[in-house]
Amino acid sequence: MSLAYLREAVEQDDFEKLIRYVCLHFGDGDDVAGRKEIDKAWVEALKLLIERPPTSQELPTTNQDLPTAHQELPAINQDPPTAHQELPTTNQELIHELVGSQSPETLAHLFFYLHFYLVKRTGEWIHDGEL
Amino acid sequence: MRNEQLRPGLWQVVNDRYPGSMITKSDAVPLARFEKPLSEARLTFVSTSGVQPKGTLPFDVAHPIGDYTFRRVPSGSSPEDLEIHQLKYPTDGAMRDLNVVYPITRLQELVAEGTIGGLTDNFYSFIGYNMDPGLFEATVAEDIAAAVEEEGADIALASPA
Repeated sequence: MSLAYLREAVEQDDFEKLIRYVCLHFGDGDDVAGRKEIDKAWVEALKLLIERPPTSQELPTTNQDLPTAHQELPAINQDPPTAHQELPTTNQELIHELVGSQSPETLAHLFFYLHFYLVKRTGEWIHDGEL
Repeated sequence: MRNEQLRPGLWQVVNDRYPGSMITKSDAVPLARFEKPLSEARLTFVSTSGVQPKGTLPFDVAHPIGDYTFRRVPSGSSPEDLEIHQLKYPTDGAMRDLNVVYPITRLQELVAEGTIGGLTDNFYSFIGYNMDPGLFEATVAEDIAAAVEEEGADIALASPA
């Protein structure tokens, strides 16, 4: 779908056209496959969180790729943290700060990125032609 | 010059899968006539394959509207120096033999045997998933064209993946 097609769908608030576009994107041109991909991402996310609800005990961020207390959080729309600012040390703090500090566009971009990240974790990767 | 669709029905399939993505362009620049002998010409290669040097920022395959950046690929690279970041075509074969989509070794061989005069220092690569043709033309296409001209290319081999 071209951008003009998408803009028209947004103007007309055409939910079906818009979600079909998302499914085509996730399914490499196959919207049925794309709907399954959406489900796979959500299930993978759920599975990762079943045993990790926030508690009053501090939960450290465990992904090595995420910023640690010794690294600067990549802040796009604000100045980097100064020495006087506390960096997030828990998942909840990190997410709260990220969502509160970044633009809606950045977070939407991240949302799409996370879809592919989670699908890749499932081990069922349709995008390279091997399936 | 032939101006026919080599795979009848392909465009309709594309339009079915990505409605509205097929565009027409009435002000296309005509192809320049190639007068120089190929054995004296400097060739550049432009590809939609998403091939890029290892260690460079991966193409953004997640963004729903596409990625409007390109990568310079040193023409002296070996396939082992390169990787693919692209989702919109099956890459399993190309991962086994990069020359399937990005014939860099073949072009180097053609230079070595004298069929082609030489290569530009860099080749050019981007991903073919771009939903905004106007933005694509104003960014990727213009920037690559300027870079190719700066590198003194006599001929450009453009290949979709």
